[in-house]
Amino acid sequence: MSAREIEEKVIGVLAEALDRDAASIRLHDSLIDDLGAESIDFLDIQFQLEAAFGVKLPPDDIWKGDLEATDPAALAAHLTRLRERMPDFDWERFPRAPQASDLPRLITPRTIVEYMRRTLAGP
Amino acid sequence: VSAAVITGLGAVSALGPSLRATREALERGERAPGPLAWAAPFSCDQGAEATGFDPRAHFRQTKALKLTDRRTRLAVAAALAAAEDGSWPLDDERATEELGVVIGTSGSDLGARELSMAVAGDADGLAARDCSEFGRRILAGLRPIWLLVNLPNMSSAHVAIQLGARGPNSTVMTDWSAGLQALGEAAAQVGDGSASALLAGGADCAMHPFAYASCEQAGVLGPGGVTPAEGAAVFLVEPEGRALARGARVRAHVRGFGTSVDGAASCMRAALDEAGWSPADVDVVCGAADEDMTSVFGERWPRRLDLRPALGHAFAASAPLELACLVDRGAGRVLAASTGICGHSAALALETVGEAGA
Repeated sequence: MSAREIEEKVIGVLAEALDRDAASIRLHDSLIDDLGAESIDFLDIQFQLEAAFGVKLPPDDIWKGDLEATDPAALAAHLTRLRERMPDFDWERFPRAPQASDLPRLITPRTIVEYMRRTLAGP
Repeated sequence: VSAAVITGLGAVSALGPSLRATREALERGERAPGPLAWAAPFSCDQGAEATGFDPRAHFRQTKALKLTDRRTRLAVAAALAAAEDGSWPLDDERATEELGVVIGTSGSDLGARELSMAVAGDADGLAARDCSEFGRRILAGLRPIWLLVNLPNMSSAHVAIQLGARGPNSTVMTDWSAGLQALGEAAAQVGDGSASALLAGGADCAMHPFAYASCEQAGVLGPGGVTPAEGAAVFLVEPEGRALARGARVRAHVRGFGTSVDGAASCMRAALDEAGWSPADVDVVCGAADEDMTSVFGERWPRRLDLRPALGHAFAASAPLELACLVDRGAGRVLAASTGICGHSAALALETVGEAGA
């Protein structure tokens, strides 16, 4: 599957799950802050991704991954990396001293597109 | 329930997406029931669908639509209309904090279409014959929000979410009498001071095979019996003193309420007793069967309103829809009754106020 096809499928799933016009969804939008996703939507998105791509995904694997941080130093280092990787993300509204519970706000459509690329590419 | 008044009305029926549209269609003599292709296997294929109803027009947050079934969408639309009709200030935080919800419903269709498609897609058909395989292959494979859509309390929950109504919230599930019972329980809560204001009524969608099968098995489906329908009717119920204090227009006084599990006659008498009315005081009756009429009124029946030929039977919403029409146009002393397949019944005595403007 081409990178473009993956992206289109992910955007299609998000548009359906979050009741948005696909054309209005940007890859650097925060699922929570920009697209209004709530906890139940993450379950729904995972299910719809599995249906759209015909794969079974481990529970919460999409959101966990590199969004896990165990202590303040690891969290800070992690966020520094993310700031470099996500220059178009709206960092202004993200807390300056974030808690681990703020991390889901960093999930974007690109997070999912990249996860699906890795998953489909195989080990 | 003597202190409870009705200050707002909202409805969606098979004849229109609002109470006004329903009344206008009724005045034109329209009848909603017609043949439904999917109902062909049943002994009666007639049903009354609310074809003109667009749920997106009634939801503040349309993303929530994926978490709702048809009956919940109808409930939200009717409740919003009732709150607006009663000039309840939905943008006032304090007002919505005390506004509660009691919706009566006979239940959901359990996602019949989603379930049957999943069973049909089961390659060797084992899921249709083996209960554990049904659980493993079918239920475990459903969209994870399936349960949230079909939980019985979701109609009351989504009315609260969409309107911001953070007061007492409950669901009544006494089969077809649930709508009237919700209204009666709301009046009782308002009357004894345990709730400040409640949106209460019935919402149901019988446009699915479980509804037709249950009517068929009970021997009531079809001509002379039940033509299944969908709809919702919700009432804004407040204590009279508070309603007058905020300048609300009182549409009706709730005078009496009764429930039973052995048919409508005994709860009609209970509602009359609480109202302090004799049978001869009643101006109009809706929802009662012939045998209940004879049992309560003897040979001298009051006028009856039966909108089921026009609206179909919208289960828990059926009697509330008729009651909303009566309150809307002003009908005097009204006795509304409703009985479900298993005999669960509710009755409400109401006195309407003045003539309707709309």
